[in-house]
Amino acid sequence: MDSEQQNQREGGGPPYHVAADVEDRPEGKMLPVWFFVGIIFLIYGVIILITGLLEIHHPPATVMAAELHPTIWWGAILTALGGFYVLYFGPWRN
Amino acid sequence: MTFQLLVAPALWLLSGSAPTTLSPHLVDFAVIVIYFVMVLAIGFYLKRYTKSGQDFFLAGREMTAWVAGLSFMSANLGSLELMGWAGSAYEYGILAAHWYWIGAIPAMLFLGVVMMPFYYICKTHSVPGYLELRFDHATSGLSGICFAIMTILMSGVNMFAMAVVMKVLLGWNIHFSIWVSSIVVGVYVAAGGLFSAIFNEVVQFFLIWFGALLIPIIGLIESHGWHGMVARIHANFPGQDFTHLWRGLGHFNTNPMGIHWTGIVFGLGMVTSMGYWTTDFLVVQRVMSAKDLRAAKMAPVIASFFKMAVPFIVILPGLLALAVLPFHLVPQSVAKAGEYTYNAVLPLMLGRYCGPGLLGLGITALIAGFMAGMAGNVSAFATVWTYDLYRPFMRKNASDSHYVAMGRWSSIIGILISIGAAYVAMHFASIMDYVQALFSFFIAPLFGTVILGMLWKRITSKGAFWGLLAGTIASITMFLLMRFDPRTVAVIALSPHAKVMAQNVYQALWACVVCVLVTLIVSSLTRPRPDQELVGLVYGCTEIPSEGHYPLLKRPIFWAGVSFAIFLLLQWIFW
Repeated sequence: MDSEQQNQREGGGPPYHVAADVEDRPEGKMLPVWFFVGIIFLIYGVIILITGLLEIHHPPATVMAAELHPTIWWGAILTALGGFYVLYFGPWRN
Repeated sequence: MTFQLLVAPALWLLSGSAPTTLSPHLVDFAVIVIYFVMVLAIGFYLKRYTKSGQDFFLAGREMTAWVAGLSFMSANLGSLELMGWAGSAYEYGILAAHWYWIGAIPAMLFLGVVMMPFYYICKTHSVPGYLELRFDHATSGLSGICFAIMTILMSGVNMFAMAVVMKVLLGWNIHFSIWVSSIVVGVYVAAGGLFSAIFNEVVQFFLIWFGALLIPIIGLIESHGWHGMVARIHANFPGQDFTHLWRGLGHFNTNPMGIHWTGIVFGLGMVTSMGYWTTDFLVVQRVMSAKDLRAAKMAPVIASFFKMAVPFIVILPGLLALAVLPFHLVPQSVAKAGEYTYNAVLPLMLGRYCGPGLLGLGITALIAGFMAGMAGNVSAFATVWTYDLYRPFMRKNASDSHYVAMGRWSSIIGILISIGAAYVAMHFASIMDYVQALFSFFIAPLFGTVILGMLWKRITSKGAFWGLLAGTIASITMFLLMRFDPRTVAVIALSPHAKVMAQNVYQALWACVVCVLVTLIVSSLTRPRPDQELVGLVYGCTEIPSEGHYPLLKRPIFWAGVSFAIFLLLQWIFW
C-alpha cells in the first residue's frame, strides 16, 4: 500500500489504517485472505496428488480420460499454487 | 441472473426422480470435511478483528479492489446458479451465455464507473440506506422490508436446495445437511460479520473455479476442441442451432428460448441486469467494503473479467454434455424415474471426468457456492435489518456496540428463519415460485427508482415511493396474469412462443417502465428537495472526488474500457 494513502481515504470518509487484505490493527496483524487460499489449496493439492500417485497404475475405470492422469497434474498445480501463496503471504512475511 | 434459475433446479431436486449421480470415496469426504473446518477457522480467526459496526457490517471498509471484486463475484456464484445455468446451456445452447455477458458486463461496468461514487461518498451502509438519504423513510423502509424478506427466503431456499443436492448426489440425510451447513454459515458470519463472509467468499471463489475447471478442459480434449464439439452437437441434434449467440434472435421462433433480440438487449441488458448488479444489496455490499473510491470503482471492473470467463466453467459443460453424453437429458416436467433432467448436467459431467479426490474438490465447489450464497444473504440481511429497519424504526440512538450485537443476533436469527423457510420449501414446491417472484417483483422497479434518483435532482420522495410501489404491483400483476391466463404471454412477452425465461425479461422491462413513468409523473406534481440537500447523492449536485493521481494502467475507466472491448469481441466471435 502506498504510504501517502495510509491515513487519508480518497473521496472523503474516515481514515483507514490497514492495507486492505491484511495488516496492522490494534488487535495485531491480520493475515491476508490469500494466505487462507494458499493453505486450503496446499492441503487439497497434497491429498489429490497422493491419491493420483496411488492410482497411477490402475486409474478409475469409470472416469473418462483417466489415462491422462488429471488427478496427478491437478494435484500438482494446486500444491504449487498453494505452496507459493503460503510462502509469499504467510505470517513470516515482513 | 440467479433468481431466474433458482426455480428449475430446485424443482428438479424436489421431483426426486433423478438417480443418485456420484459415488464419492473416503478421500472425497476428507476434502469436504477439511473445507468445513477451514471456513469455521477463518470465522473464529477474524472474530477478534470485528469490534465496531464498520467492521461487522462493512468489513472495516478496508478491502482492496481485488478482495472486494472477488467477493462481489463469489456472492453471485451460487451453486444453484452453476447447476442451473449448466442445465440451461444444455436446453438453450450458448444463448444462456447472454446472462453472463450482456446480462452482466455492461451493468457491472456501469456500477463501477457511474454509480459507485455516489454509493461510496454518501457513506451509506446499504442500498435502502441510500434511498433514505436521497428520499425518505417511506421509500427506504419499503425497499428494506422487501429486501429483508427476499434475502431470508433466498437463504432458506439455498439451504434447502443444497441439502437436497447432497441427498441426491451423495445420499446424505437432508436434515443433517440443512443443520450442519446452516450452523457453519451462522457461526462464521455471526463471529466475523462481513469480514468473515468476504474472506470465505474469496476462498470459495477459488474453490469454485478449481473444482469446476477440469470439466471443460478434459471435455474439450475428449471432443477434440471447439470445432469437434460443434460437429458432435450437430450430429446428435441435427437441424438445431446451439452454438450461435445472436444469429437466431431475429424472430421469436428461430431460437430454442423463444425470445427476440429486443428482449435480450432491453429487458435483460438494460433492466434486469442493471437492477440486479447495481441495486441488489447482496452484491453491492461487497463493493461498499472497499478501502477507497478507486478500489470501490475498480472492484466491479475486476469482477467483470471473471464474470465473462464464468461461461467457461458453466455454459461450456452444458454444451459439452450435448456433444459427449451417450443419452439425451429431458425437461423436468416429463422426467420419468431413472431419467436425468437438464439440471443434472454439472454433476453428470463431474462424475464423468473426476476420479477420487477431484470429485471431492468438485463437490466442495458446489458446497462452497451454496455457502457463499447463504452467507451473502445472511450478512446482507443483518445489515439491512440493523441499519435500515431496527435503527430508524425501533431504536435510534443506541451505541455502536449495541448495533454490532444486534448484527450478530440478527445473523443467527436470520439463519433460524432461513431454516424454517427451508423446511417450508421442503413441503411446498410453490415457495420456489414465490421466492423467484419476490426477487423479480422488487429488483426491476428498484433499479428505476435508484437510477432516476441518482441521476436527476428533480425526482421527489413521493415520486420515488409511488413509482417503486407501482412498478412492484405491475410486476406482480403481470406475473399472475401470465401464470393464470397463458394468452397474456403473447401480449406481455410479445410472443406466444416466449418461454419462462423470456417472460421474465419482458415482465422486468415493463415493471421498470411503469416505475419510471409513475415516478416522473408524481415528481412533476410535487416539490423537489433543494439542491444543497442533495450534495453527495445526485449527479449534477455533486462534485465527484478524484480517484487520485494514478497512471493510466491503474485507472478504473481504462480497465472498464478493456473489459467492454473484450465483451464486444466475444459477441463477435460467437455471433
